Amino acid sequence: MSKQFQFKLVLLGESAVGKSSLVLRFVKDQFDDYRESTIGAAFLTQTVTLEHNTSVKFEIWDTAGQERYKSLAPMYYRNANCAVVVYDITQPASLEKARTWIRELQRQADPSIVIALCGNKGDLEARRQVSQEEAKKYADEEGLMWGETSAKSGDGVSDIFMAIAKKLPLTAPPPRAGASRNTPGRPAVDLNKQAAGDSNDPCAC
Amino acid sequence: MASKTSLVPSDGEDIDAFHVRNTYALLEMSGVRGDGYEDGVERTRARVGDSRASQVQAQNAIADGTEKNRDLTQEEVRTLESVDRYGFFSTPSHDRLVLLPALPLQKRLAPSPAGPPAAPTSATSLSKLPVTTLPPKETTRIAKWNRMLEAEQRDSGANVQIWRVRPSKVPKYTERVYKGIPDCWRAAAWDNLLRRFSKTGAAETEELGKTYRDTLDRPSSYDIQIDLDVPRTIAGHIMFRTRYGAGQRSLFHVLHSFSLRCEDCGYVQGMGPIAATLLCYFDAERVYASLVRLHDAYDLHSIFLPGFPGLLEAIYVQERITEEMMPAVYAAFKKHMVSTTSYATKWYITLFANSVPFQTQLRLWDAFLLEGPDLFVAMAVAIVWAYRDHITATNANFETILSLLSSFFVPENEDALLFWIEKTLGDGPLRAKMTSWRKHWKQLVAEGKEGDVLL
Repeated sequence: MSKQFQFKLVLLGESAVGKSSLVLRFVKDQFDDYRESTIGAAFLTQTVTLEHNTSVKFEIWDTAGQERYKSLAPMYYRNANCAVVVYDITQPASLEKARTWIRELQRQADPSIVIALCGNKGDLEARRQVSQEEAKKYADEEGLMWGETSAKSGDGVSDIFMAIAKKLPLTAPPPRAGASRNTPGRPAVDLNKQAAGDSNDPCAC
Repeated sequence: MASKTSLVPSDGEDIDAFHVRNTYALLEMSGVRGDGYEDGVERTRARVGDSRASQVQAQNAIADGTEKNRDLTQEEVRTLESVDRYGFFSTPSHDRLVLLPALPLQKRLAPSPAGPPAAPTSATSLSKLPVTTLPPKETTRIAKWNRMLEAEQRDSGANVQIWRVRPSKVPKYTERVYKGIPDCWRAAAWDNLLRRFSKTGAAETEELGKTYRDTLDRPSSYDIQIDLDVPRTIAGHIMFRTRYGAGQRSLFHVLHSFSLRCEDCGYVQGMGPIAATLLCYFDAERVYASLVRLHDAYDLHSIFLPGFPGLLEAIYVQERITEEMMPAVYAAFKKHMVSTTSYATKWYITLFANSVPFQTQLRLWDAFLLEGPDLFVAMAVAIVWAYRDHITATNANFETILSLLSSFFVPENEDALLFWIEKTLGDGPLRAKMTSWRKHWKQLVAEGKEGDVLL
């Protein structure tokens, strides 16, 4: 009997570190040198197959990196089961930004969220400014998964998503469509209120 | 453009930001090799390495003065032959191309029940963008526009600077804009519409041109971000193809100056595709003036402000129309918890660049410059209207709805789409409601009561 699990995954990180390129590689196995900047967020899905007839379907929210769009981020990481926080191995400032995102996730996101720190642009080894040791040490200290990828060559991309899939708790029953849906879009979701069926919706006019 | 041979960093200017600004200024004078034909060499986005080879490569990419005199190679000739009527040498690839069907748009917007429960949950998908063709009536329309517009102001060389509509033709203007401005008249008409809607004229255009030139030499804290975005804007267009080519330099300079225009807005991703579209029709100075008019008169200011208040207002109006005209669709959004921001943010922030084919975007902008911001609300509603049966289908869920509405929409019939929008915005009572819903939203915000109102 095959089982499918569904999880919400959010990508965060500084502008132009390659978030959308990682997703494009993971979902369609393609790459564009200059991928248009993401406005707001983009929604995609991809399924990976694990052993024992188990598959994990990722509902992916690829967010915009520019600071101005940060105000929209909470609705994408709220209720996310996992997050991939991306930095660019040639840009030390992007690792700093990744740390900021991780702190925010640790404070604001679901406490059980699985976070992977991902150093992208591994193909630009000659211009590397962030050592593997430094990033790995930080990830270990914070208890995060860590890996390096190249969306351009494809190296490491499926590995990191596969590793996340394996780490997610597959004990819970698969979420049913609709009912337990975690959705972006509302500021300050009150789960109790939602469970009560939006009875005190001010717009019930 | 920049008049000095080399710039000096301003007080407190970040060294990398200065490197960006200086690179564009220097290449503005020399030009780059193979502009329009070659990909060019990266110098800023990832700093050029120190190796001898990369320095030689960078040096070789600078134009050497023979660019304009030399013969084109066979390959360059082939590139020019492949360019479509809007300047695209290759069709940009888009994920999830779907047909925006014409049939549902034959019915005007009116309160409608849910569609058949067994309706499919997805739209017809397409494998590639259709080839852009000359609209069949373009030639006769050009003749009509030749008679409709006349010169208002000429420069010292007698070139027309500003066009106006002949008074006797004013009653025809709106209808003809909705039918699609002939592409050769687009620059003149857009400029006319922008001045008309913003109630500004030639004097302001001149003043804004001066501001544009003056701000080129000032540093902007957004320069690095703008540089990151410039080469990934408007993929496939020959003018913006070559790194640091004329198109990319103009785009950088326009966005740079515009980022200094409004302290609260600065630069926001999304301005790039808007400026690039305008650069297909105007020179950089006029693009800057146009962006300022969009910002001031078409309320892009509130779209781009931190927190995107104008976006939320547009979404509120879109949701009210949906609730009133398509209650079953509204209920489906609610049931499946599909928030409007999750698919429509990009629509409103880029003014539908990158969500529809370029030709369709131009048609929408023709009408937008005439009507103002309500146009994009009507377009958003048109999309939801066209797909309403997919959204209310029994098998629809969060994923099918969101995937559908996150698609790239290829109208089956552009004229039908524009006609539907024209009728929707021409509905006086509905238009009045849109105005009052905008007011109502502002009031909710002022009272801090907007929190739970949106889907």
